[in-house]
Amino acid sequence: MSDEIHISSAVVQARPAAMAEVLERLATIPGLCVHAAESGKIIVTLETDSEHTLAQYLNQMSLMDGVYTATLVSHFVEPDMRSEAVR
Amino acid sequence: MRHGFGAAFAVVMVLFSAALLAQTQRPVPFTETPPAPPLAADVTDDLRKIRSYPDQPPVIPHAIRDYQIDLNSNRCLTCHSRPYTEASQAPMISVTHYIDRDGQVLATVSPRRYFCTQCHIPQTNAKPMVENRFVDIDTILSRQPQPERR
Amino acid sequence: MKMTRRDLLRAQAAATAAMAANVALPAAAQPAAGAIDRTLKWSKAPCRFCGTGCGVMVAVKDGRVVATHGDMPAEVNRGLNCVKGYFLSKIMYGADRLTQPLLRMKGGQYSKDGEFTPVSWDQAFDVMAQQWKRVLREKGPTAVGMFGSGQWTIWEGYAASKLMRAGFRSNNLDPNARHCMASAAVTLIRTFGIDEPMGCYDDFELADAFVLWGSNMAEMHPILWTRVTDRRLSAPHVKVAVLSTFENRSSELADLSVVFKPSTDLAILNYIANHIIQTNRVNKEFVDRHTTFRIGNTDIGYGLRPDHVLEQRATNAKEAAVSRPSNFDEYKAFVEKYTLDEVAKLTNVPKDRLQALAEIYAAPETKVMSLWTMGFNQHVRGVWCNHLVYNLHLLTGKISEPGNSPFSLTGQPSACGTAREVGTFAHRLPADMQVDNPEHRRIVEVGWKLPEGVLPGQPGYHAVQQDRMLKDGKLNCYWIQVNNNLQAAPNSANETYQGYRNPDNFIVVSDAYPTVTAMAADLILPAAMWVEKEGAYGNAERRTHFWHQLVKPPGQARSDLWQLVEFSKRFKTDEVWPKEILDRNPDYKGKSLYEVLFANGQVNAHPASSVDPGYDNDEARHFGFYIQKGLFEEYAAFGRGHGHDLAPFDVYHQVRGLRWPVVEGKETRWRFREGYDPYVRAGTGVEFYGNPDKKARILAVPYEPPAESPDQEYDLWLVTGRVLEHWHSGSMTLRVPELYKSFPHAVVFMHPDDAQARGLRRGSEVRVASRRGEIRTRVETRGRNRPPRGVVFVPWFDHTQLINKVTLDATDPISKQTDFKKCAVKVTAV
Repeated sequence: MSDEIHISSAVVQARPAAMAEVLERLATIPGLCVHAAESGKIIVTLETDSEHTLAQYLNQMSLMDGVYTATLVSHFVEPDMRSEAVR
Repeated sequence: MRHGFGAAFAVVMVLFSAALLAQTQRPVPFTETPPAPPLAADVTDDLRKIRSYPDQPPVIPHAIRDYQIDLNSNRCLTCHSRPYTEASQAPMISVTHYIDRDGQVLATVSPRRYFCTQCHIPQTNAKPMVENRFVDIDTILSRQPQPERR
Repeated sequence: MKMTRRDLLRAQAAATAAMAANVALPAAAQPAAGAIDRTLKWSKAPCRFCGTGCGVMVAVKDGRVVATHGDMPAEVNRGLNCVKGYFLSKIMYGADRLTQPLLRMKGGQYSKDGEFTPVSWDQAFDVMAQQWKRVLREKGPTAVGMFGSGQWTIWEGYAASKLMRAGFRSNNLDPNARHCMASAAVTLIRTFGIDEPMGCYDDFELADAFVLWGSNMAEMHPILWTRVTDRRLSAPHVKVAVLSTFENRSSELADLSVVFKPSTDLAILNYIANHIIQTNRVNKEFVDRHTTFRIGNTDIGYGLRPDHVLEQRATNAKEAAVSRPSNFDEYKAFVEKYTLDEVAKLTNVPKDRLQALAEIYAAPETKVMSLWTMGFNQHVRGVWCNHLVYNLHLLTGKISEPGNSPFSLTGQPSACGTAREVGTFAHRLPADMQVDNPEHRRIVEVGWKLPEGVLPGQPGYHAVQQDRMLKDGKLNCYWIQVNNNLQAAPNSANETYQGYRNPDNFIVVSDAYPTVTAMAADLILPAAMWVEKEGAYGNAERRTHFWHQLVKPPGQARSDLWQLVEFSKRFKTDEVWPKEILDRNPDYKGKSLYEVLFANGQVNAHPASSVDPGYDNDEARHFGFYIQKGLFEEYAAFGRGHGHDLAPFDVYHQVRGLRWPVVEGKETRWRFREGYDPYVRAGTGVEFYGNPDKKARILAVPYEPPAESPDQEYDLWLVTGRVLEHWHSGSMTLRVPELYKSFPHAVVFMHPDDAQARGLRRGSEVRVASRRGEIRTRVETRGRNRPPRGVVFVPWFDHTQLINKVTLDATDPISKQTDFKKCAVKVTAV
């Protein structure tokens, strides 16, 4: 079984009035980081072990209350780097 | 004695060849009609090559001679698209290939990605004509002064 | 805490998403002080390569480009690049980058047979100015010349045009775009009175049928091909027709693949017109209201040297561009002889395919996008080909509306934005004005704040003529910028090379790398590349897009703009303008060309402090004012209000380009159509306002054979062109290891039976020879190009296999563009 890491980023478009609740809901997704949130747009990155999980989380996010869309922007697949440090 | 001479001679030959090699990489004078080197051999070792930066499309490490990509079929996808990767153990095409022009995620490969060889190219064993001094981000970062360890 | 690769990727992913969403990453996301600074600065830029004009984002760290990716918000490509675009980060880092001026010297002096010796910029310009002044004194402005580029930025081409025309008073300024787009540009002006396509890339998502006329988009405009592929594979009724003289990668998407005998495209076009007329599918209302008919001179020669027998025999070699008024009935009779039977015989194309192709144009409901590049343009009857395809769209009214689009694709990143729009051709001025029109000259003189009579009215030498004049010793001082013409020009050993090495001539080459052209020069000036300078390009769909300087050029390398403007400081008006003009306008006496052309109150109107503080601008700092902005605004004034409207300079740095005319902030997607084009008056529906009568021209011209066809000895057609992995002469792409290793050398693509008949197999070393010269290369019988028997294809990116020694310097006599697609060769084992 190959250990892979999938690092991706997405733009979540949310109802501006619902931003606080949406951010709370996003926090329940494992491996998700919020990088910026302004005017209804939230920049998140995700770390998952497979594209299947990634697709699941994307789906989950787009179905959340207050969320209009969750659009994948970047996606990198790397062999397991958990133990890697900078050279 | 003879070994020493041989070694020295070998060193001279290596230096001479290096100089010659450097010369063959020089711009060829216009008036010459240089011989054409044999067709370079494809690199087909199936080994993944390091990418220079995350968004670089990986090069193709296997032979693709006669692989059809046309209206009728796409040979690459028969190993690299999601349904076939378990059987083929080939790397799956990234999720970005399932996204259309408007950023929507599709269930199947986006047609805009259909002609794989517009981005993915095989390699040969030809030696590059000049060195390229591109430095990747990890190397640059590793040259930065490290923060103090506590 | 040490940063991991994971952190880096996460940061990069976040930055990409933030850019796409136009959201600023807040300071809190930056690393804490003391930790490794992992911030990458991402900035937008157009790709350096083809005329598609994809947007990229470029990451800079510690003064180096470390990564790029396809720009998501860019309309052209929405995040995709082709393989060349994906390696943009590496093109500036070849180890043999030129970093110092190099002058041929012997005994401490300039000597044409000397060795290249590093000199300072001062020394370089000293010698150069000396040569220029000597020649101007001895022979006058017709003896100095410049060969520029469709890869010049907009302000570089504009500065060159000012320096040549207003400074040295010479129209011997031509771009390498003469080799690629002249036929297209000349025809647009002959048909519509104004240059550049009327449609835009939006047509890709709207057309019902695509017809590629001798254009291999799969390799040459790959991102546009992804849009065709997307449309074709998403909408089952869509059809793709690919016409060429050999099967290629574009044929893989073709529903209708047509391989025709070289040159017979003219006949196919006339057959389709005939079919439309015979089957009563002419849009009579459109034709009556919006077109007039003309019939063109025939037997117009091949642009060869005037003493060539073909030129002597041609009835109308001197009146090649002349046409007379005509009418529909005459046109109908003219095309009547292009019957299905006749044309099938002439072209070797099966009748059913010709008919299917004709139906695409004839069926009124089918929205058709015609696409062409070099198959049509690099053709001894290139202007005719371009015009005949416009005929089809005009006869049916399928033009200037979404999906119905005769679209001339551009090869270089700014052949449109610079060479054509700025007017760096031997006969052009900015905004489609012409040098031989006294009113146009006066408008430009006023706009440039020059005395009356400064601008010369005689068109100068075009590309092929420049080589001939250099060889003949009539052109003696020559400056080449951003092109590799010794590799690109036809019949190079007998003309171009002779010209560069003629002892009477002083040749200056500005380039980033030691190309074969640079090595044949007398003075080499090291040039800055791409994001090493602030720049602007205009792509094939009229989209002007800008970029900032992101990194510094290496060593002493300087941008072409810097070189042109600095050189102008070496000349005084008294040395280059006629005494009569200076006597009438004494205020201009004693002024340097720099003062008159660049420090003229307009070009230096914007302070250097107005440059975006986030970016370098070496030229603004050096000259003390925002020179790019000054040049741009002075230039844009010519086009605004005249159908060439450009937005204000600052806007372009904010957006991913805008398609002109940009009127009141709004770009124009379809020109000449009411509702889309603000210049079209209400109630007219369609106006081809480039012409005084607001109508387009339908032109009757016939099939004529090419200049040189295969014969007993030279029994094969030679077609030249490119491959996906390498751009143009390969000076940039061959220095990227992955691209080099993918396609290290040129090959001759041949039909396996042709190879076998000559005792050859795949991999055999051969000579490809014409009456003019030869190369040695290897045979490829199983590659991406599958020529029919009798045709071979050789790409021109390889400086070790200079195929243009073999080609013929025959041109379209009207556009002066070389036909690189048809000459006769033989292929023999070495």
